[in-house]
Amino acid sequence: MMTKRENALKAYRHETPDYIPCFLTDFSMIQCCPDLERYTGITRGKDYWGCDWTFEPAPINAPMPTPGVHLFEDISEWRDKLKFPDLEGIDWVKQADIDVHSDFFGLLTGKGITPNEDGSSIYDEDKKDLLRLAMILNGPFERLHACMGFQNALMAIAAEPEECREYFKAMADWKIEYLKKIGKYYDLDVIMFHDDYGTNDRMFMSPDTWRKLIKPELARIVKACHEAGMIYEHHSCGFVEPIIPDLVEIGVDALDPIQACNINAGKLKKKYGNKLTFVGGFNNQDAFERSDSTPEGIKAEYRRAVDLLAQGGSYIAFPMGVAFASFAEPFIEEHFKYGMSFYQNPANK
Amino acid sequence: MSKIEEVKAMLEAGKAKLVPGLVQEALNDGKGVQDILQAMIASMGAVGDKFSAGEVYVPEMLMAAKAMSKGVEVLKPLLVDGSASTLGTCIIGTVEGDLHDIGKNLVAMMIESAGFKVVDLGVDVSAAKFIEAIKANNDVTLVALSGLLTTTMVAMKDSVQTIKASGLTGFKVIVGGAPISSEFAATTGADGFAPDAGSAAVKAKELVMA
Repeated sequence: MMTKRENALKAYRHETPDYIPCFLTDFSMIQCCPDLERYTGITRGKDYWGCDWTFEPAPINAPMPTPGVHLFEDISEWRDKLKFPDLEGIDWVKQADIDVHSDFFGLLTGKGITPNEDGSSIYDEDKKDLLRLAMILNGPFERLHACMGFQNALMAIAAEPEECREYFKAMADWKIEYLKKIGKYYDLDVIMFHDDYGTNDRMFMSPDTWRKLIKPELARIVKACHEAGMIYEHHSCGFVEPIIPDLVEIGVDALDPIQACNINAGKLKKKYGNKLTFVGGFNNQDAFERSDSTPEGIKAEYRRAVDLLAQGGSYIAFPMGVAFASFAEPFIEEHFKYGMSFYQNPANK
Repeated sequence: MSKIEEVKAMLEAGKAKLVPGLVQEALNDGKGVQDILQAMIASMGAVGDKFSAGEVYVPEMLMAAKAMSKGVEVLKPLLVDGSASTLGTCIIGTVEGDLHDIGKNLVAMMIESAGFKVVDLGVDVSAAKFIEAIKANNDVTLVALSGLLTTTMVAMKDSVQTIKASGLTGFKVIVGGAPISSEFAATTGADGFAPDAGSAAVKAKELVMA
């Protein structure tokens, strides 16, 4: 019998696994030196870049860029004001040991960096059958608006694209070195690289602007991830349908969370499912995270997304959300009832 | 091309550095302050329409709004009360429990560019704060509530109903944000709903001019 890891790897290879892999049951997740990406405390502080963050309690449970506090507001200042963290100054052996023993969900739910209560590591014998994934936050575009504020960043993209292009090149260079460190000092299967490009109904910038400014650099990042021996999964919230062919072209292996605003996800899965693993596809806004959400509604949404996207494999169930605790139980219940036996039906293989 | 047409073209192209000079040149040519202002408002309306149609994106809309703002700065000393507002005051904020401000800021810019004076209460705004601001400002014709989290949709509904039950009158209430549909908006008791920043300005004008 395949391990959970082997089963999930089949989905990442765009094959049909024995059952639908699920982030909540089949994965071990970590962050690699999380302070490189954002503030990890639970009040207010800076990350390694000097960006200022304020922790927002439940239901957000995450640090947000402190409003009005920017490293720079004019893109022409990025070379002077942005100090790229020194990756050589980190004791990666020690750091990796901390990270593999850290409580990942504790960090995501506002506890800061704490070791697993039982002292366990993702490398422990009893976790060896789980797939190992590292989440990397604040990709090049997200870092840009963390540094200079969202509106300033968007205006810079319109007014000074050449300068933004230089920034994106430099940021990609740094991310590539970071990925090399991760490849060398950790034993992981997948990198989940966060860089949000979509709002609820359109992209933050035009697809053509994204292609000119970000796509070439993302292509280099994906290549570096593969060279470091890891699968590249891209995370972008919001509507990203127009660039899915581009993501396939540059070698992205998987895309999450494919929120329901991507209304053509079913058609896109049929077209690109042999090259791109679809991760998620759930309607958090209307089904999972409303105050009047019901267990029955959550279970029905699980089935809708799975029926739409899981046929033929190359699919992973991943319910991204801010009010995760409110829908996890019925979600997992339905996953065991429906997702675990989905591929036993020959029509779904 | 007349100077006013040049102002309009450069505003739509988001040329914030060029618009003030062109506005000044239009004034020097003897064009009326209100004519120039109305031309700029019309241009922002065109930008909003293009945004709603998916022809331009947020960066281009922000640049156009910035160009409009720079152009209005040139006109302000010449306006009767120093204000470009012709449609009254709009009180705007993101509802209690929600910290998202990008969509709200875009709507504020578009509404201001449509001819409202905007009082932005920021994020995490309680119903009481909305009511306090309505009382504290003259000529409030519009109250706009924004929200992005599904978890704060209830707060939006509560806020609209509290504002409506406050006994204060003379204004319309408009709601919007990623999880808000026209069906949900109707259940809140709001007078209007808009799915994006471009159509928010159109709807705002429609509501107060009705």
